[in-house]
Amino acid sequence: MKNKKSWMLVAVCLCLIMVVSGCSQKKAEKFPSEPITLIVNYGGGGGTDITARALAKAVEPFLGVPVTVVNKAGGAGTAGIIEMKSKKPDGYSVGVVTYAPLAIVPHQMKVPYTPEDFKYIMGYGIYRYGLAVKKDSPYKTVDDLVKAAAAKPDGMAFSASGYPQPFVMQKIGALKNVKFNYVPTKSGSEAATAVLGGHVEVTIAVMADLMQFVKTGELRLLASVSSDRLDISPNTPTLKELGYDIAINSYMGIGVSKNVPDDRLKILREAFAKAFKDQAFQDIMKKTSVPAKYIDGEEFGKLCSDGYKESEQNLKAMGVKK
Amino acid sequence: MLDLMLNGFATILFSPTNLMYLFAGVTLGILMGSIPGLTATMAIALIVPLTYYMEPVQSLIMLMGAFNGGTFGGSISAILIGTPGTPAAAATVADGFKLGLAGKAGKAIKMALMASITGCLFSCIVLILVAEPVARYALKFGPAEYTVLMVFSLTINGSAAGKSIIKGLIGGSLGLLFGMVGLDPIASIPRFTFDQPILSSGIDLVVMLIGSLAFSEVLVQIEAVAKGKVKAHMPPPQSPDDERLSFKEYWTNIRTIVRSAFIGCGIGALPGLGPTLAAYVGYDIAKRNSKHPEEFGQGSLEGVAAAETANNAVCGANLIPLLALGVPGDTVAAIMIGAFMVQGLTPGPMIFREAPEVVAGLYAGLILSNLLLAVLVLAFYRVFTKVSQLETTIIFPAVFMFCTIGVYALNQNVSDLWLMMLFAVLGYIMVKLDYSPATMMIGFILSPLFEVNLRQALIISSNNPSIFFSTPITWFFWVITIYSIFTITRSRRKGKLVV
Repeated sequence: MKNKKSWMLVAVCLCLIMVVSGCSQKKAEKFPSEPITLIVNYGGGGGTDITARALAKAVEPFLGVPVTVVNKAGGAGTAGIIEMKSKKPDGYSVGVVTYAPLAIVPHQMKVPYTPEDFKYIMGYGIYRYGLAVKKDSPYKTVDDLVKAAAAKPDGMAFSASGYPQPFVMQKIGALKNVKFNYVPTKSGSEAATAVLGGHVEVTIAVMADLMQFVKTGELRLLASVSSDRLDISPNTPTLKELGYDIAINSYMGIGVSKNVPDDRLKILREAFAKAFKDQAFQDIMKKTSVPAKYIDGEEFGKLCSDGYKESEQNLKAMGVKK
Repeated sequence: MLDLMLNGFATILFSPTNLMYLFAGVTLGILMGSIPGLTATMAIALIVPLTYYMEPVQSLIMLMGAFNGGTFGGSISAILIGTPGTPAAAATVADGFKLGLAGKAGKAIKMALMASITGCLFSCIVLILVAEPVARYALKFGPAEYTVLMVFSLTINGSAAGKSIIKGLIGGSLGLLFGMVGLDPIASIPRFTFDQPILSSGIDLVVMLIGSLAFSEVLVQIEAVAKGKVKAHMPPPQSPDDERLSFKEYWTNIRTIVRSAFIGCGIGALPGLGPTLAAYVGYDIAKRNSKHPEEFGQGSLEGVAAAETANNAVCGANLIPLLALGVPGDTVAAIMIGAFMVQGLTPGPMIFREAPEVVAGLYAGLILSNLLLAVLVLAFYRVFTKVSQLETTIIFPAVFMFCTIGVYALNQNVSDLWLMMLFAVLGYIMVKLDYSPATMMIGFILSPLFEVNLRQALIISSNNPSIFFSTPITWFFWVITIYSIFTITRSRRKGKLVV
């Protein structure tokens, strides 16, 4: 009797495993006739997630079916992209594809894709980067910084929350023959905090993370590291204007597996292009301080492939390629 | 300030809608917190998308309510089934579960409740009165300071170790090692991953926790049932007193509670540490300073109070860096930033000028969430304790199910379940050989923090170790580390800590 009970316990447990692992999927003729899944490659509640959810909501009326958002975080943004690639290429699984996990991370860790494995629906946002020091720092310009670094044979420490940001300091260092040491942090706001606390001299971060400290005057922007001046601080010169031929850009986009039929890709592209203009979506982009910019699918693909090749060179130069 | 606060209370109390959102937040928090595998963080991540269409105050109080409720909720399952509902409740298991097995589950839950509320209220007061200076001071903690703080935190393994200090060290080292799986934090290159995609972003804390502390218990129970020990999971209360918490019982532990509130507040105000560590540190320091250290781990109300005060004190305190500086203290605060931004607000010093009424509403909501927490728990704890008196053959399949669902829900990834099973087996073996899985947990929590800060500090100083002695804060932590090791070895020699 007692033995029987223990077997029952084991049996119940096994049944539960089966129930949990079961799931099913259907197929249909007209596209789209079923809900579409948008796989977000970062966790719930983050900047990427918030904007992606707004986009999903905006695109629903143009596709005529519900768009459900699924978060698949992990692997430095690669897990969501891998998940999207593993789904059936029927156009019902689309994914948020951000620049770093697409063009940079594949050189650092083993992932089962390259940017060529996808077709792109559109790019919808651009990250802007700034170079900043603490308000009481003696460095007023990038040149001051370079001079100070030249006086330190062991190098000057800077904080950043991952690639492509460190490429900038590495290139400045190569141009002027000085050494900068990369202190990696988990997030952009941690990178800013390291400067605020006086633990490192300078940081390169996404403007969304720097902006409020620039507003309160606690951080001083030395340069825009993007190809254009920053909307938030139009008086800050770009690195290019200062004579350093360096700019980094990074994007958010939507992609599907390259095996998705062209007619379906076309339907998706048209719907997302219309959704991009949605006012509620634009408002959310503004609130999260990611400049919204429409980049058509083909062009976005080219940006990623070019970035993929370029970052391979950059990482090799820094000696951190896998 | 005062009239602003009163206004904040008024906006919540006189608006049924606002009150409803707060209520919903606390309820969802308790529910998700009490189910192993579902955490307070997940409750908040679930709520964020709903808040797009809410008013700022509604959205923020609902989120804070869920955080407070969820952090407390973890202790319910820790006490009733020996399974921490959230990582933050891991330190509560040792004593809470023992109390439950003695029929005192009602008393333990009430102690946890009172401790949680005290901790949260204390940290609210600190948040309201001195957020700015505390946050400024927290900025002084750089990589070097954190490194030495981690060295000190490793000494808390001393009291989690149980009989053998060697076994405690082995468990702790194992945890440190598991914490290194995944991306190398400096070079972003995978290590110890064996090319398995599941390991590429490291082992998830929840997977490890559920596997080694909760699921291993299922294995232990299967073994017990197989040997013919089918019994009611927990005995009914022996006397009405077992269900009650007298004011005297609360008051005798007030020193411990206040101490833990300070610890929780301090750890919450430092970005990156979080409630789980706060609970372990609070528990450890309480044990060392207790008049009855021998009761710790055997069903000590003081132990429950120490851990639960400390973890809930983090709730208010982790808003300190968020509001004063715009720096998120932990994952929850990072998600909160998203919630603020959706409302067009940027957390940080500007928010006090831009939207003082929202900040006041948030403070009031956090304070009121404690009241709702008390009402809800006192109304429903009988249901919980009744459930715990069912037979083990009913309880543990349910635990099995919740663990499985919870771990799967984390990343919707079946491989996480295999990883959980692996840790279950490891946890089971550790228990059988008299190692403490808790030491492994502590090592695991500290490992990434320790490593990142150590390596960051060495990059900053160009590999010069003198950076670890460069500021008064580092010296302070070196001194208390040495003191801590000294007391551990001395009390072990005296046999005081032998359990």
